[in-house]
Amino acid sequence: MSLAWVVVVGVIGIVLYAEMSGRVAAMSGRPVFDVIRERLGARVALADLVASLLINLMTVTAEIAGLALVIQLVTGVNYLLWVPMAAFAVWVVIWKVRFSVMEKVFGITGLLLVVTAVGVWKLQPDWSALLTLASEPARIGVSAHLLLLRHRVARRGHDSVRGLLLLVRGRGGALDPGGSHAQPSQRLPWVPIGRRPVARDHDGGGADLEAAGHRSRAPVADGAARGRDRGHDRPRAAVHRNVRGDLQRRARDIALDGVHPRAVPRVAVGEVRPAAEAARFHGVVLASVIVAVGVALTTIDPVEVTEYSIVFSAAALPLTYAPILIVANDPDYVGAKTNSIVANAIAFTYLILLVAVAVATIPLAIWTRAGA
Amino acid sequence: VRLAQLLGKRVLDRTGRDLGTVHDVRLVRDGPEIGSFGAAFRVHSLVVGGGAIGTRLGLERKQVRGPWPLKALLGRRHAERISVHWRDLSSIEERVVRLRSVVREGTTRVGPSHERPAGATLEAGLQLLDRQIVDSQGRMAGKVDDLELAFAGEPGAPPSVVAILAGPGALAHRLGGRLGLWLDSIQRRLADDAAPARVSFGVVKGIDNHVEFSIARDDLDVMRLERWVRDRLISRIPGS
Repeated sequence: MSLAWVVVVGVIGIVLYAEMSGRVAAMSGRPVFDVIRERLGARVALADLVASLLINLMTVTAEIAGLALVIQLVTGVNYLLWVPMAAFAVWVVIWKVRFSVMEKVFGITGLLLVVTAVGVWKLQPDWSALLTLASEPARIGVSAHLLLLRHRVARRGHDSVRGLLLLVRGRGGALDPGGSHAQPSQRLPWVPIGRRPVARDHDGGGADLEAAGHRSRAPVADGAARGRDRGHDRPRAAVHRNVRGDLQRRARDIALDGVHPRAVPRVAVGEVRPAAEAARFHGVVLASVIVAVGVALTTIDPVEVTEYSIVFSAAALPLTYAPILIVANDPDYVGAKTNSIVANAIAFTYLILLVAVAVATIPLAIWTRAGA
Repeated sequence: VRLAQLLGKRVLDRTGRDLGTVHDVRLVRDGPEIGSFGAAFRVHSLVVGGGAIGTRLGLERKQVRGPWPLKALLGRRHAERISVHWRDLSSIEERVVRLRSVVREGTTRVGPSHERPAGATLEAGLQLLDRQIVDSQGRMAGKVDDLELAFAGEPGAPPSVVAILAGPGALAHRLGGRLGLWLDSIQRRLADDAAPARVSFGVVKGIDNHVEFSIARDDLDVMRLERWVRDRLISRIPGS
């Protein structure tokens, strides 16, 4: 839990960003990327586009491998065999399902993650110990939080709370889909994997953000809990797997962002129009899925892929954030709804923070060897 | 001449004094009639000066009030901008634009006509370039990658905006360098003719934070790549 404070900082930042880009999109009908190009020029915009395409490709890879890993946990069949099928399923969803349907279905099933929060509460953990851990600042900066997550959770795991696994396996056995042939170590609590309602920025709701915050915080406690439950023999492995699960979920969250450019207004491709109307979009999606399968089949660790994609997105974030901040002040785009002085003060502080993180993140990732 | 060819050139006065670079081109809507658009935009003046970031970000305009640290840092150069009237241009060369007059330190307006332009004005680089094009049915139809300016009438008269250039062919020249050459050669291979997709400014219906066309995108040259991908790939997959 020692890095839980980062989640608070992150949620405030994401609320600010989502509100501003939502306002810009709602008032002007222009998605974030248009604004980047109009304000930063064609060259920077192209660099930004290529960077986000690569980042999204990485998260889609992690998503597909993650999906396959989950099926492995359920069936016991090696995940590499599931990778092409998982990829096909993802592609079919994008190919045929309407965006509004995707958003609702995955949004609602995502709510099932509340189970995790209830689980932690039901465990009656040692709250004061949790709080101590939560309030301790990270030794290394904000950007490194995910990189260090595995390591720190594993190290601290023993001291914090009783096992969530105990709860779910001991009292909630019916929830465990592990099957009788699964090894005990493979049997994980059945946490439904939902997808956050895709945060198209013009309707990024508070509940959604709250859920996202919960989701990224809960598994930390959860992992710690499981580490304790397993005793001292293999805490790291258990925690590792658990955080991996979380990262997979997160990867899936991000991946849908990946294939649907954020904050695209309703006229956008791939939403209500048949595929032939958005040929280039579907061409890029198809190529991305194929490349992702290829990369996943190299047996690359999906957690590592996710970690690197997060490092790179941190490095690229100011390029998106700065134009949005400026345009949220421009009456040509938002009319009378420009930023208030207070919003500007907080948003500018975050701009500085983001630039610092962006500058620090890649050297830190190299220095810490991505938290290994 | 294309808009992007003017932007970024250095401006020298008659004595060769360097006034800075062309940041933007101010247009005024009093040119000859063009299609259903009506009076065309014609070039009124060049916006010249040093330090381009604030202009590029649009922070220099009065109506943008914040965030104040950025505004204070980048937005205060507006007073130092020089507006050079088109008629004062003596030559447009590969890297520089030469003026007829001698420009003294502190001058902000150069050229014969100091009166306010009659029609609506627009800063082409900031308010037109890179904007989204939307067709008559609300579908996206490319970006304004460049503008084509054409001379008409008496010699020395300012050029007017006759067409929007969109697509990789136009973008390649904007990007420049090796990447630009590479993009240009790809688009030449894909397209039958080498010229970038061009749409007459006469079909423009309105200019807002996007450029709206009065026609559907289907027959536009801009959709070349889209059609290519659709016909060769997407329409062959079941369920498309």
